[in-house]
Formats: sequence, structure tokens, C-alpha cells
Amino acid sequence: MKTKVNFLLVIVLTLVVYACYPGGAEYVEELDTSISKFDKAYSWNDLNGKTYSLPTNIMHVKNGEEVDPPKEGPHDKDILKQIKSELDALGMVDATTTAQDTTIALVIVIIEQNNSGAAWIPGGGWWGGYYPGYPGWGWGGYYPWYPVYYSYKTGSVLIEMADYTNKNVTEETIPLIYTGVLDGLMQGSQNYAGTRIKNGINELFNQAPFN
Amino acid sequence: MKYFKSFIIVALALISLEVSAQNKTNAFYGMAIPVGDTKDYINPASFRGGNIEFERLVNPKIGVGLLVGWNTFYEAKDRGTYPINNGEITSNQYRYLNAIPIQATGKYYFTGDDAVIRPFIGLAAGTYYMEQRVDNGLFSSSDKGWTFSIAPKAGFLIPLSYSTSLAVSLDYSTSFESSDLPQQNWLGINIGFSWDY
Repeated sequence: MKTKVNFLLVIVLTLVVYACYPGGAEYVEELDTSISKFDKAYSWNDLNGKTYSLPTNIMHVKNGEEVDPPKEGPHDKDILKQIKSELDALGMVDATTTAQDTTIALVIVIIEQNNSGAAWIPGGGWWGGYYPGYPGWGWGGYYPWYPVYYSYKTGSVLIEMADYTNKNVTEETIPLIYTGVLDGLMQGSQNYAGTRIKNGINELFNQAPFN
Repeated sequence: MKYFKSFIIVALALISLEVSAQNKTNAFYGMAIPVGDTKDYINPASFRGGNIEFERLVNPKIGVGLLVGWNTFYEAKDRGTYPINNGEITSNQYRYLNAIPIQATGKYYFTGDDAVIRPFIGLAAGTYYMEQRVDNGLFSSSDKGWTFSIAPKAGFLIPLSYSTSLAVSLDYSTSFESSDLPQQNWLGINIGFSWDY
């Protein structure tokens, strides 16, 4: 009998502690992350006055496949507008407004991922092809690294920067100097998502190497 | 018949030994106040914990036993920016520390079981299974493993009936640094009951 009571006590203790186990995030936006990775050797203090070129369209990737033909998402215009504003605030100059060549090229990618595993997909691949915003170049950047997860529908916004003066002529690539990633769960209204994206871009430009 | 008598004598002797060697089960609700490195990692006190101790009194004032339990420390940090390799991450951060002790215990009771209050001192030593986890948004990283641990303790029993006592104790737990985990310390406050049988 006493063995049964002792056994019961152990079970009760386990259940009580498990029931009280802290749950972490309560709201979707509390899971949002803004991550920046950058080349530390790059002269980040000299961005002022450098020209940049934003893509005309944002690339969309759904479950690992590029959305083709390209389709404009509900937040694309706002994202482009906000990034332009952030770059202007850094003293950079939109290449389309000057006669100068582009120095910093940007690629923006929105990734939707459904239950595709928990892993970091490393960069280093090759987009290839021609993308708007790379006027006349015909070169792509490296394939971006990005995280994917099991059991969730996640959305990611990637902002990549490459300095055209560092181009590799032989391989026809431009090494990335910066990747910014917003990650979050795709839940809630489009307005809610839009606000979260806006906050995330703001966070990215308040991180190193820009702050 | 001779063997049967011997068997009866030995059996009775064992039964009498079992009766004289009292057993106790102590069940505690445990709170814990982080100290040192643990406080640097998680500041708030833990109110999620408990342990059970099976104790055998080898004489009326000395008990030895086995303790198992579970303590969870948790802190939700405000949204902030943290360094990562070649970059930074801005997120809400959730920090966890789970400690599951499996320890041998020894106690000395200053008074007999007929006293109004039974103060005691003791020591627990053994292992902790520790899991130290940090969640940054959807990202999670953890270190886990077994560590050597000790916990000196002091407390008292207040007998409520023939077989049940209120039990209160303080202990200072140290989980020593291992290759996977840093040292952890906390002050435990345990309140529960002790049953004799």
C-alpha cells in the first residue's frame, strides 16, 4: 500500500510541475525575430553617399519554389517604401535619381514555408537569371541562408545587400555583405502582418551594422 | 521442524527490525531563489518545484534516503537585441532552467519523535539532470546534461499526529560546472509533509 502511495506522490509531483510549466510567448508577435548577418570586414561607416538600387519587384518563394509568374504580395509596396526610407536615412542615394552606377544592390525575398523541417538552410547557392533592380547586370546574388521549422507556417522577409564593386567577374556573382531576416508565424490579419513587418524592418536598421 | 523454528525466529527478527527501523516519506512544495551564476541567467525566484524523499531512520535520530524532484526557473526577458555570430538578433527571449535532482540524503534529528518540534540538519548529494534553454522567438537552443550536486539543508518537523508532520526546510543547492553546463546555485525553501510508517 505504501509503495502505491509513494508512486502516486511521484506522479502527482510530476503532473503538478508539468501543469505549472511556463509557456513562453503568448502572442504571435512575441515570436517575431529580426536577424542581421553582415561582413565585418566591410566599411560600414562609409555608406553615406553610396548609391543603392532596390528591386522593382519582391521575389516570392513558397515552400521552396519561386512563385512564377511573379505575383505582387499585399505588403510588397510598403516594404520597398520603408527600406528606401531607411537607406535614405543612412545617407545613401537612390541610383535611379543620379547618373552614377549602383554600388549597393539589394534583393528582397519573401518566403512562406509550410511544415518543412527545422533546419538552417545555409547560403552559398545561386539564384542565377536576371532580376529587376540589377539594371543591365544579369547576375544574381548568392542563395540566402534562411531558417525553416516543423509544424508551423512561417513567413520570412529577407533583405540582401551586395556591393557591386566586389563583384566576381569570373563567377558572375556579387558576394553578399549583408543579410537581414524577419521571421515570424503567419497568423492574423494582413494589417497585423503589415505592422509586424514594419516593426521588424525598423529593428533590422537599428541593429549592427547600421546603428 | 528445526529448520522451521529457525525460519520463524529469523522472520520474526526481520519483522521486528522492520518495525523498529522506521520509514518516512517526505513530500515538499519547493520554491527557489537563484544565486550567483543562476541569478545572472534567471533573476526571478522559482515557484515551480517539488521533491519527494524516501527516508529510512537507521536510528531514532539519523535518517538516510533518496530524493527526487523537479525545479523549473523561468524568465521572460523584454524584447531586446542580442549578439550572434557576425550579427545581431532582436527578439523576445525566454530563459528556462530545469533541474531534476536524484540525490542520496542523510539527516540528523536533534530530538526524538516524541518532541513538539524536531529540528534537523542534513546533506543531499548526487546528480542533477539540468536543461538550460534559451528561446529567441522561434529559435531555441539548449544545453543539457548530468551534473554532480550537493545541497546542505536544515529544517524542522512539527508533528501533527501520530504519523504525520509538517515539514519545513531550507537548502542551498549547488550544481557543479560540467563540460556542457555552467555552475548553478540556488536557495531552496521547501514546505510539505512527512509521513511515518
